Amino acid sequence: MKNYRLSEEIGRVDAAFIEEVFEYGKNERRTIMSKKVLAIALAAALVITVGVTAVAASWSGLIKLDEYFVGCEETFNVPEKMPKAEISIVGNDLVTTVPEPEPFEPGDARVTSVVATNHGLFCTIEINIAGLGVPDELPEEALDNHGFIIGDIRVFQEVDGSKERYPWSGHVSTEKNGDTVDVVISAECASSRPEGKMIFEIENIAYLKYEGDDKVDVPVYEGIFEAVLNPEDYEVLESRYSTNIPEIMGVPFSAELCANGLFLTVDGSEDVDIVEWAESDLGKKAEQVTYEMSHSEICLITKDGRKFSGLLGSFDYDGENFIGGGGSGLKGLYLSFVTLINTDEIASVTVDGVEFTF
Amino acid sequence: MEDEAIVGLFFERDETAVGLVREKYGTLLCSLARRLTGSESDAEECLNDALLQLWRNIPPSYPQNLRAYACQTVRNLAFKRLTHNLAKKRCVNSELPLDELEAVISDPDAELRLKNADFSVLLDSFLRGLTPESRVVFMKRYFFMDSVKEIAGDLGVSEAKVKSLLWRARNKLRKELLKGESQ
Repeated sequence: MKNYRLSEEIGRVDAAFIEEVFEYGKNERRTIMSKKVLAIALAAALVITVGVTAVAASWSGLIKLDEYFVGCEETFNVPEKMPKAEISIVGNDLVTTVPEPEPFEPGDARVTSVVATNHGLFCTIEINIAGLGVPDELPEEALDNHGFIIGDIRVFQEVDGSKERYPWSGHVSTEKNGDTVDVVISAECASSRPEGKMIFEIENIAYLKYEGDDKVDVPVYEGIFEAVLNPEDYEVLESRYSTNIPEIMGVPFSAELCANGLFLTVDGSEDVDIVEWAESDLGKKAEQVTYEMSHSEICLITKDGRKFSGLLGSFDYDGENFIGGGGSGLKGLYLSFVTLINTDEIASVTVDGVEFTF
Repeated sequence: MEDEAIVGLFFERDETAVGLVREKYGTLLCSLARRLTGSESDAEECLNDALLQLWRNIPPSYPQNLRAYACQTVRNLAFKRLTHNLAKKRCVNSELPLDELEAVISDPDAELRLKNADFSVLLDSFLRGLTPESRVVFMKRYFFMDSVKEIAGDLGVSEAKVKSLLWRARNKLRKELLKGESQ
């Protein structure tokens, strides 16, 4: 009979490792779960109001929403687009740069630019890899379109003297330039704002290759680089809040607009469970709602009167539970923007015709 | 009721402790057993056996983590049932990652060398050396037997990342096991 000794022995490991599975990243998991549920809830809410879309569609002078974001990329210095040499001449309120990075040694990492909002942190971290044995070129087996990558990145924040995991989702890109590796991280977190000292742990430099059908990363340097962002090095960009409280299906919503997203929150203290409300009113299957979601329309209206309109699918779409309400219901919705925007130039946002003014 | 209080009831030989564990963790335990055995009836039997074992073992055991301890108990029982079913060539859950993990010691020489090794000590040491994220992914896959897709969904990461973490962890485990044997 075949022996499964390892699988059996794993059943005898220290119980603390088992408990850790339950305790690990409770915040992250809660966020993910509520995101899944709310993705459907918002979709439902938007589909309910789809009839109003005709109003938005009939507006004259609509410009594609994509163009707005392309414009943002060109106008504003999001970390991916910000060469370090230009730090000193950045004159844009959107970006706070870390002043004069200190010289650093091989194996060190430092933050060279940062944008922090109420719900996210976007920064560039530079790693000095001189003499660490990282090859100049990728090995032949590497998937060269990915370049060198990092194995993992963990973010912590120091709150009241204790180091807490900053539960983020988002993306990381990496670029090797000679003896340095630039890591750009877009860390969104709907439920927690960056505060205090932020600590980044970057694990390993690696490349990707195929192992059978799987893509796996192969470390070329194994170790952890730590970069620290002190509170005095960055400011959190304040959000803007809607001046009106429009209703969707009789439920009042208020909106928070920050550079990386639009947050709709059930206004007041009403005990509303969005999921129950949407499902009972719609009576639709989740798949159907999710499909219809991609046809919902968002419109950003700038102060100079330009109207940028596009389908919800143009966004990196997510949902978030903002207020526990004693566990009685989910009360928040979240649209995240792939590209950071300058909130100051936005006059209003419509979500399938429901308008939030700022 | 808090776990510590339930453990207290076990120590007082109060049988309601068993019912409280079933009430609080029955679904979790049954689900774990069902995953391993692939059978509802086997899972229910494993749960009953596990509860009986808890009653017998506490005291003298004093679990710091009752939930983990109960999971461990039911997992070990379910694993025995699984190997029994495999030996009898009965139908089992074909998606269990048994071969995936055993491939770590698939080299016959390595297997022979490790025959008498103290696996549990080596495994504890190996797990302590992983990052928390890798450790959780490893445990979810090989203790709880979750699928890669489930792990990715639960942790909010891509399936590719989960596969990479598992691949690296298995490599590390292979090295640790061989190193442990040579010491």
